[in-house]
Amino acid sequence: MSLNPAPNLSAAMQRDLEAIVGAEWVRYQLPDRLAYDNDCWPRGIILTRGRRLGVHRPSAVVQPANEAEVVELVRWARKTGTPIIPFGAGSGVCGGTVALDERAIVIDLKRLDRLLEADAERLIMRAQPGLIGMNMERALNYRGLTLGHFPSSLYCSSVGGYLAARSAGQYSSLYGKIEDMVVSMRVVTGRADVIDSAASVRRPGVWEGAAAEAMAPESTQLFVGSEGTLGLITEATLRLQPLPSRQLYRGFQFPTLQGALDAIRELMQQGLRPAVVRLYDEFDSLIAGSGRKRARKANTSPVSTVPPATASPTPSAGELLKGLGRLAKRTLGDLGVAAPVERLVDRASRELLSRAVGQPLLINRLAERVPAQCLLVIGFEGHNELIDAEASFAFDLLGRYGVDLGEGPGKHWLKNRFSVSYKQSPMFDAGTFVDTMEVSTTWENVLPLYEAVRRAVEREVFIMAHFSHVYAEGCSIYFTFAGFGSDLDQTLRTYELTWNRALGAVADAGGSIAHHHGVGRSKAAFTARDHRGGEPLFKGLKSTYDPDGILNPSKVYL
Amino acid sequence: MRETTTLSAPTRQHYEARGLELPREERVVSTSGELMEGCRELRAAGRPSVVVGDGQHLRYSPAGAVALRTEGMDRILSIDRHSGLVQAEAGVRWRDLQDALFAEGLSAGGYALQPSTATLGGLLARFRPGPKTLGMGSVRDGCVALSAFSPTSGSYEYLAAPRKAAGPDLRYLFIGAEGRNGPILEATMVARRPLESELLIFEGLGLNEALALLEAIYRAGLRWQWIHYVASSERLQIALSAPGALLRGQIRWIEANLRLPEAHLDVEGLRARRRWLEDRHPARRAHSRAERSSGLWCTARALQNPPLDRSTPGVDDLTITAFTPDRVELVVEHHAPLDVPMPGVIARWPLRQNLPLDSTATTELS
Repeated sequence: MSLNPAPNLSAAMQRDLEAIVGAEWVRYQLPDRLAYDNDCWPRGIILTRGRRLGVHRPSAVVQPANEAEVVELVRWARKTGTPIIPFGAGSGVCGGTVALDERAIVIDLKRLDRLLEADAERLIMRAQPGLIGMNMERALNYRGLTLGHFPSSLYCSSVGGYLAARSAGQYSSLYGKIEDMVVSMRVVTGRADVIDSAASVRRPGVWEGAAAEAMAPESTQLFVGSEGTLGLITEATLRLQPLPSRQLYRGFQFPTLQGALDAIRELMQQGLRPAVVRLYDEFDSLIAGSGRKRARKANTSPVSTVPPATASPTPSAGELLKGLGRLAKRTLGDLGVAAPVERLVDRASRELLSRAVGQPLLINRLAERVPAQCLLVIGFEGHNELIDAEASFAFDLLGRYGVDLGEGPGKHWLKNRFSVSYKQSPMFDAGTFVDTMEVSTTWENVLPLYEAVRRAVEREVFIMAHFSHVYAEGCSIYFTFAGFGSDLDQTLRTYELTWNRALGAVADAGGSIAHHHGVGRSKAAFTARDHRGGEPLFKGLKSTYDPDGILNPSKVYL
Repeated sequence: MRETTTLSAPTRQHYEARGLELPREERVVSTSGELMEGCRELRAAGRPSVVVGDGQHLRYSPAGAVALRTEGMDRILSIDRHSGLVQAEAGVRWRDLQDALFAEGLSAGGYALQPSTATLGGLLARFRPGPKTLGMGSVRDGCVALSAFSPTSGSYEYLAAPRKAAGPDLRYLFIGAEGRNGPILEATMVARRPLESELLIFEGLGLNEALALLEAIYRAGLRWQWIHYVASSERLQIALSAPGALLRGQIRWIEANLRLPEAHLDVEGLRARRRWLEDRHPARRAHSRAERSSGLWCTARALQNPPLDRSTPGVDDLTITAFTPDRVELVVEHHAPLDVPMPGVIARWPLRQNLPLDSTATTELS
């Protein structure tokens, strides 16, 4: 790779872009373009750590200030046949914002970052897409309001990204996912039309625009989750909630995963509305335990360095190894090994385990033998004594299935829930990789799907899971897997094989391939399994809204 | 498939009772295959067609078209008690689905009031502006999956799994599309275990008092099953549902902090009352005053300043059927065109429309 390769844009094209947004908001220099070489897609992190840079670098990065400039940029892209990659905060983990064509330009929407309105009477807000989640939430809290959308990436993700990827926050069981909160959106399509999906008196449910004739009235739900393939979101109207004044959190321990899932299902089918429900499988529970202990130690320091174990989708190498050590210890204890021998074995096993991520089958089998228990973190939020009664009812119900651990685990989770997403796991530095896969299915299918995925990838990666985002009819399963390769190419092969096998297992077992991370590039080959016969419909939408195919090509569907 | 080129008297009565123009021909289909075949054949022949469930919500006129009646597609295909799901054909009537689930110890869910006589597919496909309303939404919020058929793109199946993020929700090409992108064939709905329920009846509430009470309950974090307020009778009915101990606590809280209801109905009374209301639901074509009624979606403020109530010129009555602070859904019965200024009104549409089939406008105000 040249240290400073020439941009792929001609001088005339550069002048066009500068005329639209101003010269200071168009970036062609290599470091700038490399900064957009990847979002938080772990495959890209593997490439970067392997010094293979520039695989997905765009030809330019453009930062418009308003909707009119976005329109002009799309108009220019149509005219020149330039692919557009919409970019928010870059926290996506599925490669939804990587450039697959060296001519592509990134349209970074971070300058459109205003909270336009927060109406406490109607409980409605309007925001621009580049508004960062935590900035938005703080502004709303100041007014006694909340959106109720708390992804672990809250500090480093944007409103437009939430909508583009059908995001879910940690409190989705109470407030819903982003598609439950959105009222309407303004979108610039690939025709450079502006569409407002809000109902109007004249045409309820139908926007004014050239592409209106071909669409159903429920257009909002078609743009949500389209990941920039149908249009660029320039404004969103979302429903708010009054800021809750009471929080009740609790931890429970269950002897089996099945028992814990039964308890949660019972809870949700009784119509209860917990804010947070997170159940960790046996090994994830071990790691969560490790995190809590370190949290207690860290609490003596004014600046917390708590590892974000229970909130973390990507555990650190230390946490993982500590968890593996516990796993070995418990398994050996179960076999009746005496304590001094256990210590010796423990030391030896730690050394082995430091390399054991490269032998996942062994670790996975060990994990299955562990006599560990499953940890559940549950929380309720509300405004008055009614929520106390609901929480009490739920805690009684859960107490019939498991052991009440008190407030500790819940409080710990609450404190550390945002500590991770903007940090890359140190495991990548150790030559391993970590990734996560969030899928969903109905209650009847939860354990079969969980087992099917474990079996599918047990020879490639170490795998654990937690169960969150629960509903009356089912829940999401959030798998975390860690793998190892002796060099970059082998790591990539293991990574690709793992994803193909895991997604294949999910689809074969009747689950959905994505619950809240979206599809991006990494899952695009499997989207049709969620939507049988959907590809021609999507192509129809593309021909309506992006007839030139310039918007985020080869994302969502290949 | 039964074809009727000369419409029988009962068939004619079916359309006339709903204020619909008569189709050129009617075909009653009894399977998804027949419906798809009918759509394909008519498209190939260049003949216009309209999918008709019960016809309660149909806004496009079947005049000159072939009506494809789906009421023969009324089978319940599966019930998954563990996950709480029921899969049924689109032509099943909502009431029949309710009864079948009740016999299985399940409930079809307490969504906002709707005509029980309407079909499942029709309720999903009908025109209804506005976003989702979690926890107190319409029947479409309880739809976990569906299958549909597009004459241009073929059959489509949305996987039965909760809250997916696998691209755009393509169900919404069919939900709310009134059959214009093709018919819904089957749907998988949430089937809940029945909880204890109670109907609170508040009498003598003016419109503003009713809105204030609903807002206070909403902001307290309570979510009702359904509500029904009629301005002329000044009666607000709120159906609550929860496990017994919680339900009693909720009612005590309302009584202690907001207002004492004039009457309570237990679950049996509630069920009977709901059926009575649903059969007379104003938002249906067969309602005696549908021709002079409009659906309205507005802010609560829009109903207060300037007041939109029975004192508004031309307005006879208002029925509120859904409430959130950003949106009140109501039916306004009027004997004159609603041409008064209505700031804050977000959407308004006549209940009985006969839009031409080739019309691209979803709604034009009458």
